[in-house]
Amino acid sequence: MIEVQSISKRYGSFLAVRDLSFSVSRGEIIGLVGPNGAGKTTTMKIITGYLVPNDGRVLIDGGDVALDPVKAQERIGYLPESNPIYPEMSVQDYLLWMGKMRGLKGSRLVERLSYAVKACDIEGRLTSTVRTLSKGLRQRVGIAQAILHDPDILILDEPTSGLDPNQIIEIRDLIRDLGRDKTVILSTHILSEVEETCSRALMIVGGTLAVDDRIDHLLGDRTLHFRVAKAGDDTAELLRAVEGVEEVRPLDAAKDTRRFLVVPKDGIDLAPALFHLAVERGWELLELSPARRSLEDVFREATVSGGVAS
Amino acid sequence: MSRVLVLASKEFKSYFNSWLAYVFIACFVTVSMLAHFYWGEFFGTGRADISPFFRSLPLTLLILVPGLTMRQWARESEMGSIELLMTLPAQGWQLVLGKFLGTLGLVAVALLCTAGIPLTAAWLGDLDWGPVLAGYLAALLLGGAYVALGLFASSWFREQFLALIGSAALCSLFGLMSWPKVLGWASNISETAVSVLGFVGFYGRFEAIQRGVIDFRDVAWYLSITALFLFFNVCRLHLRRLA
Repeated sequence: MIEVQSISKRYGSFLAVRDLSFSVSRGEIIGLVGPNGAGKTTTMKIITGYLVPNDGRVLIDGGDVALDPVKAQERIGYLPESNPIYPEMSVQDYLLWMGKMRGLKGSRLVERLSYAVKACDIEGRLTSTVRTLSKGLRQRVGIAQAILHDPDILILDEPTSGLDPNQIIEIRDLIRDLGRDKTVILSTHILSEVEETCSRALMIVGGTLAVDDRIDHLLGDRTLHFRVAKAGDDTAELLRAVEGVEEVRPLDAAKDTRRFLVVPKDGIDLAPALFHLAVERGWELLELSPARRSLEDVFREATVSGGVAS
Repeated sequence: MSRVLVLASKEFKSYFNSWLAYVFIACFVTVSMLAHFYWGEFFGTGRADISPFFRSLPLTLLILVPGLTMRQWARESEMGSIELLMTLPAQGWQLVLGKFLGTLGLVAVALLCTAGIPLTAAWLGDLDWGPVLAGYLAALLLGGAYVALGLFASSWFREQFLALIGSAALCSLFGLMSWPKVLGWASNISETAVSVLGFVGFYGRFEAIQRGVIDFRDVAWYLSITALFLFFNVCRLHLRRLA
């Protein structure tokens, strides 16, 4: 549905995004993560047609966004990072105005307005002036504005910033709910948010794509922690020889015990094979457990080394 | 077209939301009345002549209109709301035209509020309404040209104060170019300079229309300058996307 084809964007002499490519299909919820200044916001601005890339292009259902931004923008709901809302307008006036600018009118406008207001839980504050709203409320008005016209594509730049924990859960549920029939690209600093909300993570480091993988792959669902006692120095070699093992990483070695992270080839459950190996070799099996990596680990690997995490 | 009107009415209303509109209208009417009744010595002449009011209009508009246009694009840039505006499914020309009409609407309301001046004259004596209507038409055309110039200038700045200076400078350039004093200085240099300045500048054309001489070329000149700078403004928006 969205094809980002080797885009680059330069601000003066600074290359904010370099040769970035990825594609998104309908119904996916993509989490865009990466350190500050990595190019996440620039990428989103290019997808929405606000900026034109110096190189490459973005296609939405085959149409080039830079050539016909209006056609793409009709289908996009966008929450910019700074969430700008005119301070002198009331919430209701603002949302009605945005709806009209997006071509909604009459009963359809009223219907969509009441949906968005309910979904973002701002029904009680419709007559408030935007100036008087807290950051969390403003953020929810921004999200209401983005979903108002029932767009196919939602681009949300840090949607949960400024929200309290309860509101974060509500907005996550809303995003997951919207993601059933819409395509969502969101950026965030909170990695647990990506784990909980998104189906896929894109990690951008230094303007390039460092990681592009499904969340369950990234978190290594079937990766195992394996700890044995009474094993020799060749343990790692022996483990690598087991069928279906992709990678063995020695972790900490205490006095008598050795600990490894064993990564299987795609989706294979290694537990029985490792158990048999231990029995065969006479090792004392102390631990054989799923090692859920956190996205923080993936993030650190990708950003510190600059390389591609497994 | 409906997007243009939706944007125009929002801009128009937001002037009133922020009290700017009331201050603008109050200043506009006060300056016009002072110019007419006090400096113009309306009561001293003993004639139902409101030309002092119309003679003051080019300067009043020149001083006050940049105060309206400065907040347009510069404020959007400052607040970041330009990002939302430019990701709405609207063409650049629709955004520019919407802002132009919203601001021109306020200028028109301010002009309407000065209706007391010709009405007073008509009440005291026998007023010829033809030149009065022509004068208002000239003022609206001139106001429109200033709004277009001011909007264009405002689109280059991120801070409203700089936008004010920029708008005022650009409007003054066109507004004062054919002022009688300036033409006097230019006549010391060359006759060509006088005719070029007289052609490009706004003042002489305003004089002509306000006297009731509606020349198609004068009207067309105002409309062309307005359209040209609105077009430049649209170009400027496109340039933004590339920046």
